[in-house]
Amino acid sequence: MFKNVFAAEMLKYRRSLSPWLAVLGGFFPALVALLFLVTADSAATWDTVAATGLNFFNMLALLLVSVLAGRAFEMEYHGGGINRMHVYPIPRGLQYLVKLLAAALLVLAMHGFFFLFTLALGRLAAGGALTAAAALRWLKITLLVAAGNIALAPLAALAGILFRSAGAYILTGIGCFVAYMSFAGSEAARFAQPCVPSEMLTAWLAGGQALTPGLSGMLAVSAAVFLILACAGAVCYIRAE
Amino acid sequence: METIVKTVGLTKRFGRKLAVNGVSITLERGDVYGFLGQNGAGKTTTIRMMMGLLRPTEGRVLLFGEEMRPGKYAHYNRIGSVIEQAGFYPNLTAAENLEIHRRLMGVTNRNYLDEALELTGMADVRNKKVKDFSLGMRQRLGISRALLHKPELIVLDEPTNGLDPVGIKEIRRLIVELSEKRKVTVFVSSHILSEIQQIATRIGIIHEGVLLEEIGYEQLRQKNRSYIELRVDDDRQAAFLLETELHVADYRVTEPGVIRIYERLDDSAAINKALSAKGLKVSGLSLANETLEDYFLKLTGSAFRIGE
Repeated sequence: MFKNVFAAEMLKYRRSLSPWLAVLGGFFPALVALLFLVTADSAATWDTVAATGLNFFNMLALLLVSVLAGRAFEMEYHGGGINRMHVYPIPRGLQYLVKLLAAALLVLAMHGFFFLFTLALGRLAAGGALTAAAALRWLKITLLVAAGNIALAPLAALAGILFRSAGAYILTGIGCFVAYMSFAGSEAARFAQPCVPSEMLTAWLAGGQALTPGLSGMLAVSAAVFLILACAGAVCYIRAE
Repeated sequence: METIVKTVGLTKRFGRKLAVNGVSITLERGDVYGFLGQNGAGKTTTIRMMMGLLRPTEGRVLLFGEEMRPGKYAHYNRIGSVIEQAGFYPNLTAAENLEIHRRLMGVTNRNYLDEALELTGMADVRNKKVKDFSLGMRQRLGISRALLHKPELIVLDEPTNGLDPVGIKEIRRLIVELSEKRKVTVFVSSHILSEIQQIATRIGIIHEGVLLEEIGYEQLRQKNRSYIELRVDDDRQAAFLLETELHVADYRVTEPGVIRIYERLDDSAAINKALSAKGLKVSGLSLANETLEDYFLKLTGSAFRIGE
């Protein structure tokens, strides 16, 4: 059953805006970072390419995560599709889970596109060769950021379910962005989504500075946020009329 | 006879508004059940409760003999439905939309998709995007989707909305064919009397949330009566003469100066002669039928739309 439900969910994205948002959401920050670095006075290294790209990406990603996750649910309410979904012989909990999974995969794909585009465009700005160790470390940070961002997907999904409008999840994204801009520099930010602690990550990237509270601690926070929000979203989706 | 759908005292209250009040419907296998009511009468709310999309304030729904409860999904395999908005994905083609349905219904035979498109004459536009479809085409695609998994029961909420007369006729033909050839039980709602009266074997009439009557079509036909309509200057005297001189008992004064006589239908000339002989001025005399429309009018106190 899961395979069929998942395949049906992915089919809904064919010729839709969401996959393009994932591609463009990865491309634009990489492009802006490149333009920023080639016009800067000092020569860029691969570490500065990664850190600059990540900073620009973080600004846009929170909004796009909200749009990608919110759209996954709102598109069902738009046009009466939710009535259809609720008369299939599929538990509503599974429907919710599959939708969230599809949205999470799109968010992950956006981070993947960002990594690849930055890698491709970074060659134009960075001096020297990119070592395998640096590339791997950079990939790990991108995945860590992805985990933090995916943790927010159920929040936008919840907005989509509760308010059934595009405005709700766009506002959620804007709210996350404002929170990020306000608290990203603070010590507590590393524990609070959506404040991806980019400064700390940048320091780790540049100098190999130890991560506090550590990778597993940050992932645990992301997982906890994800689970709490996903449970709230599932309850709303299952009970919705 | 096997009962397919049974609702018992179905009631739905939205705040202070009582949208549906104690509706009890019984749908037997093979029925084409016409659910007739004006816009806002409570048809869609009843259907939504029947399908488990809305929790009733009171009452219960039994589908295929089992009580509908939250978390029970298996019976949806046996039902096809078109309720309110079709809920298609506009970026996808007709075939892709049905493919989603095929997968969600767990239908393994891909030929069912082609059959469903052909049944509603949509095969030619299978690769056209739904966003380019007219309302009528969407309705037909909705019916294709409802039929794809070969359900035992089909629930159609106002299926001819947005269709042209040819499309309406086509849907009627399809419903009759499904019922007669495939033995599918059909529950179809409409606010248009002529639609229902041509296809339904049973009719439920809902008005202001209350099911006024549930009746077999044959019974309903019997309510059709022929009569002589008389227009006279003095209905009181005419009524007196009808009873005393002509021994007519089955008549009704419908409005001042207008009398309907339901017997001695072949004696209109004699009635006219007898009344005129007594000095009454008969300004009109005609043979007519009391239609279903009249019957519903009497039942609900307001008129139904009778044609397309």
